[in-house]
Amino acid sequence: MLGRIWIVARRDFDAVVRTKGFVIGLLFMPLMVLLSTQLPKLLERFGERGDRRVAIVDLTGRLEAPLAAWAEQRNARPGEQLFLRLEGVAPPGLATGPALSLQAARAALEGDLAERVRREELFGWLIIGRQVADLPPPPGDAEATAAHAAESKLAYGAVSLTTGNLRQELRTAVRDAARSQRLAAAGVDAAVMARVDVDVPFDEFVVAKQVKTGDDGVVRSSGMAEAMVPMGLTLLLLMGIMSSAGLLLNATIEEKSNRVVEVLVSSVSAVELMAGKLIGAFLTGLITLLAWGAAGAFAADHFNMLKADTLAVANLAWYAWFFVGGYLLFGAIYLAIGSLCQSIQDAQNMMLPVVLLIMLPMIGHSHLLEHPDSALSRALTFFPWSAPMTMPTRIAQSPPPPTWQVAASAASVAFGVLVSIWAAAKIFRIGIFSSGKPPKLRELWRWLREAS
Amino acid sequence: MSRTGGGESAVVLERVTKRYGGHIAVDEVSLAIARGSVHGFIGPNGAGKTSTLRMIMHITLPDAGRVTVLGRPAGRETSQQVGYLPEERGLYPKMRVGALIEYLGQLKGRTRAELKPRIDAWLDRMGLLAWKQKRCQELSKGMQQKVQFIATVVHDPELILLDEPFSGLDPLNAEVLIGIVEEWKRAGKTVIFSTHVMEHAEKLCDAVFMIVRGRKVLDGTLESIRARHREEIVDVEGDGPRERLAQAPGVIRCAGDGGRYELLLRPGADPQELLRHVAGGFRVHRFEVRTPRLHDLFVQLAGDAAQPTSAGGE
Repeated sequence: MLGRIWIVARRDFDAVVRTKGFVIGLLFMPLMVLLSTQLPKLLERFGERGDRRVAIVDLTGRLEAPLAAWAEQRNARPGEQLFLRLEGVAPPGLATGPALSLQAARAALEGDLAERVRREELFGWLIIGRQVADLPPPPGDAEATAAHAAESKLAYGAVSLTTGNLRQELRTAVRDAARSQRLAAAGVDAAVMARVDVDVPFDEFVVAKQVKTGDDGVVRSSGMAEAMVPMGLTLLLLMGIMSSAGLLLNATIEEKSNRVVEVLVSSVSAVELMAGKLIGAFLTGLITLLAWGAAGAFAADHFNMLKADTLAVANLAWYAWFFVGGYLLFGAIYLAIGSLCQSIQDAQNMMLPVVLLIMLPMIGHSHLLEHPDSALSRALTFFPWSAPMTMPTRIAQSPPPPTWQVAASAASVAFGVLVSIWAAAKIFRIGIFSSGKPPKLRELWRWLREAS
Repeated sequence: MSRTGGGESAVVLERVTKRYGGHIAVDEVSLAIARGSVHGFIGPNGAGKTSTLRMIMHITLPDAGRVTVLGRPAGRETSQQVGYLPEERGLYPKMRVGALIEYLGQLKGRTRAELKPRIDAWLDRMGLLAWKQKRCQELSKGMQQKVQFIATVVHDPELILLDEPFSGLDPLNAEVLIGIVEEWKRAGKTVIFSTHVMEHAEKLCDAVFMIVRGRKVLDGTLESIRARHREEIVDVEGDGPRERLAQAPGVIRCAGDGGRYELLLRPGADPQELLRHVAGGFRVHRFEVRTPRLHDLFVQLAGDAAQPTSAGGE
């Protein structure tokens, strides 16, 4: 019997993994990860090199030097290929009288600067308002505040406002330089300010309701990371069910419409055929999930999101149990539906209630995260067809549910799997020989009650 | 007449009944098929032939009664020793011919090593060896039917069930199949096949089983059936009123018109008396007395069973 199941599983597996669609699906996620992690580096290689000359008109008279120092530092960054060259342009009349307003400076200089940009002598220009480095007036004096605001702005013009990060870099550099000046004006030492700015860390602890001996009952929480793992697993389970179940549906409908199925059931029992198909589709799904999971883990690691303590190893066995259980619960239903239908269109109508059943726990997920021990949460984790999507989330939460609840939920999934497969086998056995319209619910019920 | 039990029978059905909802597909049918015989299942469409074959294959289970195959209750293990070509048959379009036959052979419990030489031999015999690595969808319909046939017998079964094996076959391929069945007959294999074509049944079968509306109406060797159905058939050609023939003494049924008629006589009726009666009001061109062929029995029994008052022939 096991031999025949395995032969069926292997054929179904082979039939799928050798298709172009499967290979494309398999490579899609790793390819996306590769692109998202490697593309920036690659683009850098193809990115622009050389000098970018920007004219700086500093109406404050105080920021040109710190900006020059900053630019020098910036250009010395390792791997930097695009160099920023700042060219100080003296605002007219600064030496003789008070600094010009931003508007007046623009009026006086913009034509000339723009012409130089057009001649490609300059990439762009930056005019720094005369009060940018000044401390704003104390609150209360609306007029002074407005006057200060009008003159503490930056004006920037360039060939393109979207090319590269230059605009943002300049803005940040000016803001930092101005901040130092303003601090000094307020009589605050910049070094002191840096010490003031040191972050205040926030440590979280979970107090367990029951304290074991030799245990202080306080557990350090790793916060969101803990919830991410079961969330990810639930999503993987959903994806696995959706993709594998799609395969099962297609394969069963294909066998029915190709009329291969009667040859098959003359050699293997309906249950063996079903089991073989379930295992075959599970293995194809597993390969996809492993490839995607590995790609996801690689990406998470690349972006420094993977922490060693994210996954509690002790829970892995539970996750695997609910994962496999969830797949079997819904896979069997999809198979039974496939056996009733002559076409994918027929199947789509019948799948609606099943898809709702799958999605329902996802809708309740936020409730589950906030109230893991509510009556609704418990009900969701004890109902076989929602347990696989909800119990992993509860297990990963702090405090975890009592062991008896986890065990009861696991048992209910096992029970559900047995019921699903038993019912699916009965329907499958009759359904694969049915023709015409899919049967009504009442007729299905009669099939279930019949002996064979 | 239910012959039951025993090592001499390849298949035994004892009062087997199969229902689908309110419909009775097979109604208390008893049947014994001798080992080494070629047995024909005949009957009109929807009579219960396929339902009976499926129960022998353990694809469906009887609601009542018992099915014994090769000396054991029908089950998964007995069906491993049977080759079954269903009426509804198809192939995986994308699978390669060799791999498909191997897969179906493996499901019957054979190893790859056992199957390989047999697959090549059969493909060679059917002229398909060059197509072994092609996908099934690339084959013509006739070739696909040959592949289905090879897949049915590649595991060298003791008992072979063929449901309408000739349907869709061109005359050339039908001859190939007839040749193979005759070969099996000589080799002592048991073959059961269902068919609509009475000539095939008469040519190939040692015995026939006829089912109409789920009930057995005919069962036995061709000789015994002919001995039991001693009614005579008279073919008449001539001009005159049809009623003259239909109402003649000893005539059970009169078929045909336009000058050609077929009369079925009651057992024991005298054809000479009929001839005298007919000649009294009918210009006879031809008058031929013959024993009924299987085809005549088929038409007669199927027609009788279709009338609610005279169901069944046992």
